[in-house]
Amino acid sequence: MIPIVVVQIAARWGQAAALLILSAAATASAVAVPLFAAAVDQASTAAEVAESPRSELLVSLPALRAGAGQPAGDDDAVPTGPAAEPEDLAAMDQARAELMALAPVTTVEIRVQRSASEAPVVQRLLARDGFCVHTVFVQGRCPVGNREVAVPAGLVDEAGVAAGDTVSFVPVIQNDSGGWEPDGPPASFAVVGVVEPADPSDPYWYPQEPFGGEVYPAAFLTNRNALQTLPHGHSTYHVDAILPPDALTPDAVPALRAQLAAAQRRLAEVRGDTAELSTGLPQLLERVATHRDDARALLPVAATPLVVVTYLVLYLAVRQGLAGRRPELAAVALRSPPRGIRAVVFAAESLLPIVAGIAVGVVAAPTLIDLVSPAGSARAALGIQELITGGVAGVGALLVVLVALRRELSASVVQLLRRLPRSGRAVVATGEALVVGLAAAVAADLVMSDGELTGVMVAAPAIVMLATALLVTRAARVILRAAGRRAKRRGRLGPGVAALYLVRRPGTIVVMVVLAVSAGTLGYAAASVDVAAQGRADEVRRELGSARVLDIERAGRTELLTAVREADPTGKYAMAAVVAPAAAGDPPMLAVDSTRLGEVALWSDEYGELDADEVARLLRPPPPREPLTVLDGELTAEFTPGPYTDDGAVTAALLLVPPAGDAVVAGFEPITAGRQRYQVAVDGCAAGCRLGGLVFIRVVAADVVLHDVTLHSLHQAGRPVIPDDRLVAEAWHGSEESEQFTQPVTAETTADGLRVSIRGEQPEDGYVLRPLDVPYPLPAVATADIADAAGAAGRVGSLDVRPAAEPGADGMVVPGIDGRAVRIDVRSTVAALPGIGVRGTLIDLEYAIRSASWPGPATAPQVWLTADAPAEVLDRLRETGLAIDDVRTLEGVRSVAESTGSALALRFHLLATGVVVLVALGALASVVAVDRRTWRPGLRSLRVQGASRRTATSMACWLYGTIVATSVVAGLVAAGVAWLVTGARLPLGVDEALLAAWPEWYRVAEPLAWLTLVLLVAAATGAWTVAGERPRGRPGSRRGTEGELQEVES
Amino acid sequence: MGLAAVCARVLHVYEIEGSRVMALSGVDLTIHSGEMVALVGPSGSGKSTLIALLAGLMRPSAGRITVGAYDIGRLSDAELSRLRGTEIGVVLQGSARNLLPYVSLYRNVWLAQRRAAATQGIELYDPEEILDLVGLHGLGRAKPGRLTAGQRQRAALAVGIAASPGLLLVDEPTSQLDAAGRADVLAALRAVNTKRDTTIVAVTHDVDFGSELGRVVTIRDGRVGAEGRDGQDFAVLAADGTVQLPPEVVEGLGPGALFLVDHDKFTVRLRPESGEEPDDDDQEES
Repeated sequence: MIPIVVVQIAARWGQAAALLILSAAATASAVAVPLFAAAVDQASTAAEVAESPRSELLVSLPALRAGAGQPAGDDDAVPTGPAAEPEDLAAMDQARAELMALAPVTTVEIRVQRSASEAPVVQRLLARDGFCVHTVFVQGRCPVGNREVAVPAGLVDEAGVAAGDTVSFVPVIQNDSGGWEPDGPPASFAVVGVVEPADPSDPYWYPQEPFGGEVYPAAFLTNRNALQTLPHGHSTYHVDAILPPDALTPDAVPALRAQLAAAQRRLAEVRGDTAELSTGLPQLLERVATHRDDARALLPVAATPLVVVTYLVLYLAVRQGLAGRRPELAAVALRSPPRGIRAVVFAAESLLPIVAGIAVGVVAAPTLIDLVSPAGSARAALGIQELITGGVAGVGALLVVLVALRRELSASVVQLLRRLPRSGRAVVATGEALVVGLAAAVAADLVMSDGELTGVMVAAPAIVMLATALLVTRAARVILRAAGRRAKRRGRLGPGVAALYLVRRPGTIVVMVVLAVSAGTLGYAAASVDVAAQGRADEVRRELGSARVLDIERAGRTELLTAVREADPTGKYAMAAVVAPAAAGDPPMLAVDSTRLGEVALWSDEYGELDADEVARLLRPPPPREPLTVLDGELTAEFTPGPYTDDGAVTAALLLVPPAGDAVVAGFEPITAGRQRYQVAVDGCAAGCRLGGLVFIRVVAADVVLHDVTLHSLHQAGRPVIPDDRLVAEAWHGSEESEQFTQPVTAETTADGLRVSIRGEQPEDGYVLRPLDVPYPLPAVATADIADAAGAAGRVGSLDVRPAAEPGADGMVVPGIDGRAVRIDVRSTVAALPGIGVRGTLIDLEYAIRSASWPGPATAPQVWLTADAPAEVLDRLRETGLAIDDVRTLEGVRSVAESTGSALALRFHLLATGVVVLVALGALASVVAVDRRTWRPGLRSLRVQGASRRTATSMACWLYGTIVATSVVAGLVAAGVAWLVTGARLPLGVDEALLAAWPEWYRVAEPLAWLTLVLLVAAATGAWTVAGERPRGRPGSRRGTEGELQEVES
Repeated sequence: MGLAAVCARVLHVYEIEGSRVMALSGVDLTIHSGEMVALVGPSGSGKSTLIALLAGLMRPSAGRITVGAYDIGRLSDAELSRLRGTEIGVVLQGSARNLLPYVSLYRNVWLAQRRAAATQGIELYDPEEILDLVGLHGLGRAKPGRLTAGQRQRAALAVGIAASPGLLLVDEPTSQLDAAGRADVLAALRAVNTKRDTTIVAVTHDVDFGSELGRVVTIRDGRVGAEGRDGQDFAVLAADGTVQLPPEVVEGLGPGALFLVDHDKFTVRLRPESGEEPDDDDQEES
């Protein structure tokens, strides 16, 4: 049989090649899903790693102090508590060992002073494992011997040393008074090299910043043996585990999480629950896993229409091939060969190319994916999952062929001798009903049970499109039949014959469905891409907040606000913004200079009904009182201490905030018994300082836990700084109380002044009573969950938020921009906020500054700029002394967003759609090929009978034009219905709140218009191919032969 | 050994676009083992239908057809299929409907032998021998497309007799052939008939060709109308007593004419109602 099958395939190689290509396309598209998913994993993970802060790329174990005795002082770098015991070291080592996927690096640190220096500066001497590999030696070499050190290039000038010099170190330890005392004898070290980091962004350098950074200054570097030669009493061990560059893959996420959890567990077993790993790695793992999940959710949705269309075209191709083979099949059946031989002769010609196509598809898929891979040079490789997926798709293709062959495989000789097979209307109608029923069930499940596009439901869009295309084309058939008859009655031969021919040929109907599904897939993909792009653009706008954001290196809050206002006095281009410190996972609070919010921030309708200006007005209502101002000169205050306050136990001071520069504290003498006058000279307020608060400091620790002091007056040069009507409790505010924050200072109105009570543990900066010269609680606009929590007790992240305990006090207590409790009043709710997202709070920066206890550094200071902000604004910002650490633009953030799993998966959606269109064009070409064989003889007969060439061409044009028009309309409807049913469930990896319900119409219309144009060109070519040639040969040469059996049936 | 075939009161009705058409309206025909019979008749008379019924491709609406010991109407589809693969050879009209165009003649014949090869007790000839028998010596490797029309027709015959059937049914074997081709086909049929003792039934429009086969059965209006043997034409008495008169008689008298039938032991005389006493020359004998 093999020779017969071989010559069969050789005789119809074109058809075999078409089947092979289709089978390969179906298989490759299925195999491409896991391959592309792996490529997306690599690309998105690489992008995440590239964009991740270094803190997310390593794990730091708690530092261990080695040495006898407890060092005094408050050196942050030296861990407190007793020195490490052997079991601590063992636990630490076990914890480190749990982090198997990470590369451990140990650093031993001792504090030293240069013994020869007149003004010795305490410096760090670090022995970090393997640091020479990560450095470039500007001078000299790696310090590998005893008593050898290397010095960072940035420290050369400051330390006054260079390679070849000798330095003498004295180990030091901090004493009780905060000074440093020797911790060992001095020792000389040879400076053998001057080094720079090979890659400053390498996480290897992050923890101890040997080259200087945000936390630490530069340090001398040496090896561990060298440290041993420097006798010292105390040292600190830092153990870090660094994520190797290739260790992070989405598949490795569970293992890495497990390792982190195990390490944390080990740590807690010995060091207690308070001992924690220091790392941002979990956040990175979360993002990587999210990309993975998003991509894997979307890719099957994208691939399914391709598989469906390919199967349909495969069915069509086999059926059309069979139509030409029926006489031949009848000849074989007439000889009644054994069933196996008959099956081989009938089916092998179709099945073998399919099997070959499966192999080709599986093998070619990695290469094809490499061509379009977002993972750059990384090569796609086949694995078990790919082979299984390809196998399933291949078996599907084989089943499709067997279904297409089913009638011929069991047909009698007489049935095979018919030129056209029986229509099989019942089978077709049943099949269509099944598809439509399945689509209805899918739609009902998605709509009623809020289902997701996972599991078998990934096929939902394709099934809904297919069902809709079937229904529309069925309706079109009815219309076309009527239109055809009408045209014939009116003598319009072209449209009449074309319409009737079209509705009677099942193959043409299948092509219409294929083209409709293809057009639908294109429309659906265009909609997905557009809605996702819109969502991502909104997300990027929301994430950034403005067209450009400058991250400022370090700045005080007031300094930032003032600098930005000076740099842009118009208020049109720049706005200061500060993020209030918050625990990881807590909703952020952003303080902005709301006077510029409307001009600078990128506001979206999606945020809610309020626009930026309305929000600004809510955040910044007129202040209830004017600021209390103080000038240079003498101030006089009258205080009376309470009965339980000893003389000198409490001192009072004034916190004065100048327009620029550091705060001024004007302290009075300690308060003694009785109503006394106290005086203080103020300097630094020539331009006028705002009274930021009354500060009380408990000087002497005493048993008494409550002190009170009454302020009777505050004058300067005969002018009351605090008018009498402001010496009332309502005009002042102490501090808030919540579960996290106690309320250590309160005010009470008395007949002769303001009584201030202080209690509890003294805050680091004293007890501060602030004048209420801004609306308080601070007006805020918040997202829904914050606003909901404001109305009743609830949790927002780690915060236990509760309404005010005091009657009449509204709002909720949250950490303010100085990290201390502040009460906010949520004036309105929005869906999202610029620079924040869907969870967070927005307040006015100036009011927040004035309601904070002390001036201080801003957390994550930013300057928001408009797209058209002039360069002078930036120049002026720099002139004010603001150091710009980073510039983030919409384009930059958008490019990062384009590397997310779902964004990359959408590329695959487009690619798959392109292949769908190509397959559909192939289907149209196959119909033309069949028509060339079957329809052309009829057209020739018409020509011989007098029909003009124009009439014949008109018929063909009407035929293919109608196919294209009907298909595109059906495809548009199919895409619309599929989007209506499944669009909202599509995993686009964008916050649902930002996803538009429908795409912009032109984003869908444009690709469909192009598709229509291409199809029309193909149709015109097909019409010319079928009808455009001059009639040749004897008409009717393929007329029915007398005695044929096709119409004979009892 | 050739197979005999008997048709007894065979009726066949089929439907075309909702209308029922009687293709055969009571055929009585006996074909003896080893005979060569030509079925002739005008288009639409039912010749091809009769041959399809004999081949078991269709089942008669009524009546009985036996081929050898087989009652065709009572056999299952599988049994009919086996019969066509072993004991009944069928050559359809047009060589293209009998041959795989892309396969050599040898493979065509070999493929047609597969059912018989899988059936015990059947002696098969080498395909080359079969091709030799039909005058296609040395053309075993040739493909049908490279042959002349006559050669293709004989190749179709070779496929039809590949399994050494007892009955060979051939539909229009000389259609569109020239005289030489027709002669070659005739020679091939004779060779098959004589060397294999195969009963042959051939449908043809070609009366001359039919005459060469020996027995010519004319099918008219779905019945056996006449039969020619040894140069003489006979009317045939059907089992229900009907006789089809020659067309020229029907044309002369017109449909609906009444007759008186006189007969004795040797003579049957049809006398028109209005006619005069006929002469002896007008007598019909049977």
